[in-house]
Amino acid sequence: MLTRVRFGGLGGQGIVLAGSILGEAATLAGLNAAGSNSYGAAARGTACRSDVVLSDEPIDYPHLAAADVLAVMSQAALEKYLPIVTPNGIVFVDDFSVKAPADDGRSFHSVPATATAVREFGGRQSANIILLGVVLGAVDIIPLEAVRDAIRATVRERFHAANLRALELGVEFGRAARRF
Amino acid sequence: METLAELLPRAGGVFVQMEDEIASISAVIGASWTGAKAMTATSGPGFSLMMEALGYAVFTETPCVIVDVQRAGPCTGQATRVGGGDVMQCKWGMHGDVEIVALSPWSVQEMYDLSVRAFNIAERLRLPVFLMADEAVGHLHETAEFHERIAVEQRDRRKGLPPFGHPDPGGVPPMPCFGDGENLLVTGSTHDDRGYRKVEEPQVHARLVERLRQKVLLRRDELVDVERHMLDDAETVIVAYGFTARGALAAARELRGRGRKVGLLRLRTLWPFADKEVAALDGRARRVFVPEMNHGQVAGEVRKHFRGDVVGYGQTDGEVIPVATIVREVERIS
Repeated sequence: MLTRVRFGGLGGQGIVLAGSILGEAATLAGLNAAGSNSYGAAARGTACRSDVVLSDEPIDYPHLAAADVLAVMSQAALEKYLPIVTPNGIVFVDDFSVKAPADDGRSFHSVPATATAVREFGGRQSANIILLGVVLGAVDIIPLEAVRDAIRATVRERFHAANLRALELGVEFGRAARRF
Repeated sequence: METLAELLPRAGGVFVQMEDEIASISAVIGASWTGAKAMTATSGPGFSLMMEALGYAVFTETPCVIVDVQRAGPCTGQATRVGGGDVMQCKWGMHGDVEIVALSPWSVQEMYDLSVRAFNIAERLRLPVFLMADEAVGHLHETAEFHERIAVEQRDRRKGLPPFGHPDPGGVPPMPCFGDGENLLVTGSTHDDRGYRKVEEPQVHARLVERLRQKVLLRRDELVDVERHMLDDAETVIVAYGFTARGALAAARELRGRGRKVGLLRLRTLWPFADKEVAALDGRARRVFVPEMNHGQVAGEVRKHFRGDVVGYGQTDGEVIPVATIVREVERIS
């Protein structure tokens, strides 16, 4: 099965890291993964996206022209990438900075990623991992243990606990979204 | 580069951050003369800055590897977006008549495999070898296999022989290094077999330039590396390289599914150019389509060797050429 995931937002929000962890987790889980990132020359604030293609087959073409899952942390990213979401696709928006669009048959979910990060961790830094957790909680792509291993392999040790907790919080939101 | 900075010292290597690209390529050349396998990587105007010293590397027969992750130019352009406009620059960006070797990876796996190949060619032929990547490959993360053992070309460092001359037309002289105890004279001026400046003798210059050219041209069969996909009955052949070739293969498969006889000739070596391989399409394919992220740099080369229709498609908007665009354009010309 082929799953195409796009994270979108602004430089500095951890969009690329969310994609990297997802791709790393997929390879740890024995899937094939291809990831591509696009960002501006500035370290903060310009449009940014991270695409991950996951498949149990070898991936011939690693970019995505359509997305099954879109998760965004900026209004501009939502507007820019919504057209590529498939008719059965699922869209997650961070309610701190993005207004979910009106229902059009696709599945839209507004989740408090940044708000939860601020409340639980006293800062916005974990919002990306919460959003990653939301995606993984809502869509069965990869066993969560592989994602935990990917976090341990990717993130500095002193941030492990916070990131693993952020992942769990996100997964809970994702599972709730699933029931809709 | 950040990864190399971390990993190279652990493997017994040295990573140096220089103040700019001119210094970087110069340091690479110096490092190579100590016997090290040396490389640098750049993009955009950084590649332009390296040109003078690259001519020096060619003329002093200094093995080195340059990774150019091509981006949208000219000038600073869109610094993080994709381009493919340096194909001619790596061949002709240095003044004078030079032959170099340039490879074109399309995946993470090939960034690794062709890096190994680039070093081996550089060492064997004593010249700069270019790994002409593009931003799409540079920013790609995917599954790749790293080999337990790799074939490594050992440099011929014999002493006592002329370090800049060889009796054979494309001969490669041995290269003793600084510190080996040999009196070495390395100059970017025209030099004789021993390295002494000979800037007023026409035959010395002509012989040297010709041997440097023939080092590459006489070995074109071992250097040119192409991949052939679905060519046997192809009426339309896509000639592509780099990341674009990956889209071209996906497009060719889709077009086959629609009953179109389309194949792909993928250039994994850009220079020396795959002239014979392109010419071999003559009389079999009816037309050749060349999608590239520049305005016809390889299409022009293809036209020199394929006598049928050659249709180029250039896209320079900082984005990769979508599979759907290649499908549409091939259907339009078929």
